[in-house]
Amino acid sequence: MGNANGREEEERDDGEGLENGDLMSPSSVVGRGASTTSRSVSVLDSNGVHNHNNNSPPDHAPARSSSPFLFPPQAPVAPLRRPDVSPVFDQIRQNESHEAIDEDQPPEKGIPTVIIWSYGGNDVAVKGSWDNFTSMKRLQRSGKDHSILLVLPSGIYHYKLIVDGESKYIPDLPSVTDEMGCVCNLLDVHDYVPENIDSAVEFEAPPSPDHTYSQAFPAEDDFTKDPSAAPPQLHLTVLDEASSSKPQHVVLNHLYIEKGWASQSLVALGLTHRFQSKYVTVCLYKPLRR
Amino acid sequence: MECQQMTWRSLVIVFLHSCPHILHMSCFQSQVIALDVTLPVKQAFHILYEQGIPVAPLWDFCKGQFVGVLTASDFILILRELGTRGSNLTEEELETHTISAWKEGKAHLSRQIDDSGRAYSKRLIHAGPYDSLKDVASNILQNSISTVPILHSSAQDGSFPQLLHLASLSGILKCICRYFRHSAGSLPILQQPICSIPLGTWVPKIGEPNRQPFATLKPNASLGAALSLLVQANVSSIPIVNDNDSLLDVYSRSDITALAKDKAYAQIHLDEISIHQALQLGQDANSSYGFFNGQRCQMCLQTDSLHKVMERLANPGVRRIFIVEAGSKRVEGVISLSDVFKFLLGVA
Repeated sequence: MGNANGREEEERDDGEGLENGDLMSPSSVVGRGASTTSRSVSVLDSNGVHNHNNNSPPDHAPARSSSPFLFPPQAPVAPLRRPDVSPVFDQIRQNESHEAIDEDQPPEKGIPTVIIWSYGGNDVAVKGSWDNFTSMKRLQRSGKDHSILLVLPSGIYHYKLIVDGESKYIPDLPSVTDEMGCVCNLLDVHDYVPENIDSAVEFEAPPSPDHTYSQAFPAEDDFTKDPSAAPPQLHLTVLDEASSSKPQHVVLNHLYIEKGWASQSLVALGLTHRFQSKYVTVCLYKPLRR
Repeated sequence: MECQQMTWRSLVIVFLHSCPHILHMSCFQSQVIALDVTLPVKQAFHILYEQGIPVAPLWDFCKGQFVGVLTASDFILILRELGTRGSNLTEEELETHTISAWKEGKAHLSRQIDDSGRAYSKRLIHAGPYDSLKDVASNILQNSISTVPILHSSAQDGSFPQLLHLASLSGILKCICRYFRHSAGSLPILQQPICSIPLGTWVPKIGEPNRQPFATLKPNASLGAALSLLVQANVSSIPIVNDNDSLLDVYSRSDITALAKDKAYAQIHLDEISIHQALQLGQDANSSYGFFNGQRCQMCLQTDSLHKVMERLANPGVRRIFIVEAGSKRVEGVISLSDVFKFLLGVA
């Protein structure tokens, strides 16, 4: 498979429909660029490609972005030194625990977030609940888009845009209306970078050659032979120490079995599958009948 | 004040209604442990203890479905059964008695003696990933359970379900806290002391003769007494106090799994071991099970704000917080996750 180094963004699709998300996702492209911006930028595009829109039920079909936002504005931000899920350094940080549950962590670290307004106007500013709507921050213009990079602790915020003196909101993004009819957009700032499934779906893997689909189910005598060796990528089992970092795509949908306790005649079956952008490892304990 | 409560509660309900659960599943990557129904109860007991979990969904290979959950309550009932003379369950049988057999027996028993009107449901109570947070919370409250498995099946008939998550009120509360964290200043009700809000169970004061007594136990009370109290009072934990009613520790239903250590359950007699000794069994130097922030019981003062109490309860593993008197640590009341949700959702 030519994947000996295990780097996620270079994984090939093995023909089973496992997506090769990281290769195409804007956030990983941003991460690889040697810019001064941090790697865990969560991008909101005015066309509605907020990563979580992908998870909403079908009747709220998200608008797809035609131009994934590749280059954030060059506002200098020190790279975050937390063990976050940077696609480039994931290999190195694989043993460090993911800090998505970090209630015990020291005071809130800011996460860079971008707000973009692409509906024209000369003078665009933003006001938000991060400081209780007290200050207005001007967005920087580049062509037809206005954008701003904010560094905010993880949480949910309300904001509105002031375009040439008028209060506006971005129509395609989640918004909320209060009793007086004022509309604010919702900004959900996460500690981690959610995967951008959109770009993965657009990546069509070539089908396997036709003749490989005619393999016969193993017969009795096939079972007397030694099993073929598992590819090295699969040697890291999901049943090893419960790692809370994002699993490599290559181990998804593979069933692992652990027969450790001969005296207890028990086996543990482990499977990691992906549901939308969440990875769940299910460990099932089953008795072993003699 | 009433008005404030209602405005804020309606905000919370709107928030909960609008969020499909999947968006707020706790982690990027999570692990769930399930058990085969044909496992002997004894092994299941050990697995729960070793993995440090209080509940596990049950999978039936024949049906290809999740059919129930095994909880700490099950073990409490099993141990009480073992102790009963004339019981059908013996030590040896524990080795081969499967979870499914236990559940059958339990259903049989409850059909015979249950007259409280609550239907004993044989079907698994579960939720889907797109159910709103409000539906999941209501599901949990109405069925008086602590966790609900989140299952998803891409087939029309619900076959080949995927287990995604075990949802609990603390996860949902964490979402609520996160949502309101940065607007706490603009919601005065969050800053109010909990003694001024109708929330939780409080020790009746002198002059309130009609209130139900608040259950507590001394550390030398027997484990059997504690288990009986848990079952009969239908509470999930009992505060352990000294002679001055100062809070020392807490015995929860989930502490029962500690008896699996070194097969203690086979060697002890429920009425001959004290709660204190039972708790010692579960706590060795390296075990952090049942602790949060270095403490087994979470405490607060009656003057603490609602916001502070909610933030504490939003931590995983914390299901209740005891209200104590400053200094003496005398127990004044308790607020549990379900109390908070009943208040938020306006349920009695």
